[in-house]
Amino acid sequence: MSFKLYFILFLLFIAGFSLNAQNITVSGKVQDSLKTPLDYANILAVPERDSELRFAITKDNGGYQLKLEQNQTYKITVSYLGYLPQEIVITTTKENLTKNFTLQVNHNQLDEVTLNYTPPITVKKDTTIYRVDKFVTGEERKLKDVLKKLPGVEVDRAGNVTVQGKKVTKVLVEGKTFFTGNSKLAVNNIPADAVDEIEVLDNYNDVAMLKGLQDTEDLAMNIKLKEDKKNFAFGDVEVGAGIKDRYVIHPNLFYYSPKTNVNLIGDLNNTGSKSFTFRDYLEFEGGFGKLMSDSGGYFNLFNSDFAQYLTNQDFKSNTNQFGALNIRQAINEVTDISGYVISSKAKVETQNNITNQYNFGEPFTENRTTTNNANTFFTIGKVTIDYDPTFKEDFAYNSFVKVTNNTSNGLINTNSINQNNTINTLTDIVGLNLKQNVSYSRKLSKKHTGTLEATYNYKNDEPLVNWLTNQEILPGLIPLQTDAVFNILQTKTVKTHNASAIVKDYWVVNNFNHLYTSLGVNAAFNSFENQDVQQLSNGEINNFNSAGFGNALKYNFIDTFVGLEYKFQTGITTFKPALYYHFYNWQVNQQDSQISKTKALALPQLTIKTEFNSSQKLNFKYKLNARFPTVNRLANNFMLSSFNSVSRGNPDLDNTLYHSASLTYYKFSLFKNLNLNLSTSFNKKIKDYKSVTQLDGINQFNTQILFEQPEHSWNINGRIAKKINKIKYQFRGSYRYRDFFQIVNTETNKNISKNVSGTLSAETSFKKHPNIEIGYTKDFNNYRSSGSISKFENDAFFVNLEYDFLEDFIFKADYNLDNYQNKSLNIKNTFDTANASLFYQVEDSAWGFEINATNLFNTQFKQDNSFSDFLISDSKTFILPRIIMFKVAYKL
Amino acid sequence: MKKSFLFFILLLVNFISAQNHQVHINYNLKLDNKSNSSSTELSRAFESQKFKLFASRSQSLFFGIKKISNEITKAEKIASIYTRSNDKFYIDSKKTILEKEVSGKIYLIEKKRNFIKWKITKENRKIGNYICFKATGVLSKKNYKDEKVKTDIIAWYCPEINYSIGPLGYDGLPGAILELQIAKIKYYATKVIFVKEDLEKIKEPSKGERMTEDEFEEFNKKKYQDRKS
Repeated sequence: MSFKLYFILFLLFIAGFSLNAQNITVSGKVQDSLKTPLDYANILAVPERDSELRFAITKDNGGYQLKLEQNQTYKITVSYLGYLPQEIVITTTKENLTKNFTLQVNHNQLDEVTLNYTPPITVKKDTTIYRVDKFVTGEERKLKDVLKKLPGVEVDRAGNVTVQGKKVTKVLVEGKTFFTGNSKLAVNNIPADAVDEIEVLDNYNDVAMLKGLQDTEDLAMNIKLKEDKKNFAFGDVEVGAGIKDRYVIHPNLFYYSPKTNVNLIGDLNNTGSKSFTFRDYLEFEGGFGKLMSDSGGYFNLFNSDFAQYLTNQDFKSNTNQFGALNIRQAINEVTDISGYVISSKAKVETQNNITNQYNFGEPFTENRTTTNNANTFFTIGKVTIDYDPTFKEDFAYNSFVKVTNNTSNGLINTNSINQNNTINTLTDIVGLNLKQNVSYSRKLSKKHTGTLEATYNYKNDEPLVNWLTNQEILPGLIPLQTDAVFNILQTKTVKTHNASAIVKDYWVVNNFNHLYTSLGVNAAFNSFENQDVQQLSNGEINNFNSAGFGNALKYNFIDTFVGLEYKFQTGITTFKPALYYHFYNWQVNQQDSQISKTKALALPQLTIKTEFNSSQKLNFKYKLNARFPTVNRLANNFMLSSFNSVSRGNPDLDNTLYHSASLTYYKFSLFKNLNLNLSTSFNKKIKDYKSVTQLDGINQFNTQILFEQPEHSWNINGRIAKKINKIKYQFRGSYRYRDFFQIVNTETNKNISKNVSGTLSAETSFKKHPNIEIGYTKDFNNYRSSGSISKFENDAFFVNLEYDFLEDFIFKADYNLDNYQNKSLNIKNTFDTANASLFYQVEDSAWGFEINATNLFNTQFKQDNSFSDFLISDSKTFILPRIIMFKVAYKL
Repeated sequence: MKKSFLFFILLLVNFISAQNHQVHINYNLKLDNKSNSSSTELSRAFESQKFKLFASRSQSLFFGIKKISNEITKAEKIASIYTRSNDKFYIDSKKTILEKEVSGKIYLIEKKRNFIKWKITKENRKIGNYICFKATGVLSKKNYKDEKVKTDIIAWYCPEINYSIGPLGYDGLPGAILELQIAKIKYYATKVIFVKEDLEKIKEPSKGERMTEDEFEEFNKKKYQDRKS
């Protein structure tokens, strides 16, 4: 028993001794310039590597003894009140050291120092300010890494930022919009060490005097840069090469000064990563004519086929050439001119295998394989002039240009009971869009503020589609002449001139009552022409006009409206009922039909906002909406829509009408680290456009009617997140219900779609240990159509790992597993994907190295399902194969 | 001879004055609790408490500034208990005394020195123009219900102000604590005054019934039991 005790004591002694053996002693004296010893002087030793801080305090004779680790580098600071601190850097060996210090008197020592307390987060009504230095550890590379450390702020993999559950819609730097304001560009590119403070501004308005008057959903994030980073060029260049001819060149250069900002981003790669997806580009379209969207009853003009290519995220191969340039120059104190040019050229290859279940009449299955090679090109440019002479006046002029040219070559192979066909589809879409916009705001008097906004928009789209097949398509619907190869060509020209203007007066009756009146006009002049022909192999043209195809129509539309909004506040709740009264006037002129109609509509709105405090809010919105038909719905001759459908419009169509309501609740508790978001939305269609379909096998003939039976959709979404110690737990759930009617072969049926989804996840945020994020999602989809029910289920599991080790290495890996079940057709599929990367950068070095592997298991495709009208589709989408890249990054 | 005599006097004066240099720090309070509306009466009462710390090389005294008002609201009473603004903390080389008033009577409680084991970290930030380092500690105490309670303490100390002092008697760090957070209550320095003139020595609390820490704990337990019955 006692032997054990002695043994343990001996071990401890040895341990203590060996611990001591790893320490050395630095000793010496601290005195002033008159050789007077300084007692109570502080000696602080900060190690360079991650180890303990050491300190010592001098005694009466000014002597000290400091125990430091062997073979370590320390920064030693000696301080004494009234004297200037002295700093030296030493590297210890195995020997003890002697170091004496002589301190100089600080003649600038103040008798009294006032300290201003800056809390890490300040919350003032709509503004939250984060002092970045209180949250960062120094290892952060980009703004994205800094944002992740701020409580209440989340950044997803794509670069979208949410603050307290609300999405950031605009990013500013030093008060001015950063590039397009898109958060992705900012969070992935702004260097972390340049950021000083981050301001989050709720209900943000570009025009300061309109704040509190004009309702916005904008949540802006303003990045304030450090003093010494205000006049700086920063950025990085990334170059990489990978297995089987993969390359990436990604320069990202910034020059920033208070008067001039220049930003150049380039991206050349064939690895599928996009610094700017087409979806981001769509966000540009907003921000124009803000006031117009308030008035409701707006109508959507013809959307070019370009939109199809924008949403694609899964492709077999992808080559990207992207360049963007953004310049802002302050001409004088009140005038700013800024502009950007974005140009992108991409080559995308996609493949899709779809199983379509037609649940109508005799249910049958169609197997369809679609492969597509697309070349997309677009260039957009925008120039803005901002003139803010005083707080009372604000003037902005925007000019916008978009040029697009997209071509694609696709092959569709369809296989079903009565058809087995291969169709080659070639498309060529050329588009031009020019927009001019002027907006002027002025404070007319103490209580009145007026704004005027006018926009002129010119659009010209020319899509061309060519179908080639060796078997007849759309039998009985198109007048094909026998030929070896069927060559069908469709040309369309859509031209739009749109002018709109709105004048609005904001009257602040008193602090709790506001009255806003607006008057506006929206006029559009559209022309639409299309031809469907068969190009015979002998050179002749078989024009389908003889069979009722081909359209030429002019559609003029004018909407004059008057609006009244009354905003009042009782306690913590703000109410805003509004009424817009529209007078519509339109003409549709075609070959053998001239239609002229007028209509008056009253469209009410109601918004209720209750703010319990700055971190607990309840919002309710209700709106009665009306939509008018787009040009292609009005064309009254036949038109080819795709290889298996022909459609015809209806010039008699009136407007649609639907109610939309939503209720959102969010609660954020900084101290309890709890985040709660609940939202529910409800939509009821009173009148809507519906296709009446004649279905023959897979071939469809569609006509348009205005359907007047109610259809509903209802969503509930909830999210709760809580951080306990260093782990954040999150649960996300949603329920979606939708019912709609299908009119097929003169039968009207009601279909119901239900979807339930739940995700449980946990995320760690340790400083030293590896960080892991795991989650599990369960999805149920239930479709009821024509009496039969189809069920789909999906189990998904994901793990993300990040491990910072050996100071300079960062290892990241992620794994996704999907177990997909089509319960009705009894199809099961399990697929998993994994990505990994290893990044090496010596601290403070400009060079970084990375080995990166995507789709480690070389998974071929993803599986999913969708439900529309009489069709349930189960599709396999092919994705990029395994890519292994080696990248070198140089930081400026 | 005259020169060296003068030099000697100057040195002596310098030496003596050095002994009487003092540092005075003013502290305000902040509640780190944003989950409820931050302008409740209680929060305001908490954040209106103010404190002072007087320190020389050999002594230190930390106390709350008493309000001059005839009516102290209930909120302010609760606030002064939690923030210890009615207590005085005195430390010198020989002893540590806590002066506390309970039910109108003053008690002088002798406490143990250096009751906190500080963990010093490399983390630093600027408070004003002073670079401060972070230290953390855990306070283990038994409350009046005799339950063991652990509280996290975060202190930001400034090595440049080379006095080993801080609010509420927390010391032992190589620098003055300019910010101290215990649970939700944060004491932060608003002003640091360097007094170079001769001042009287800091007054040690002397009036009151003397007790040791354990005796006071027993006394509290008894009071709590008395109230329960």
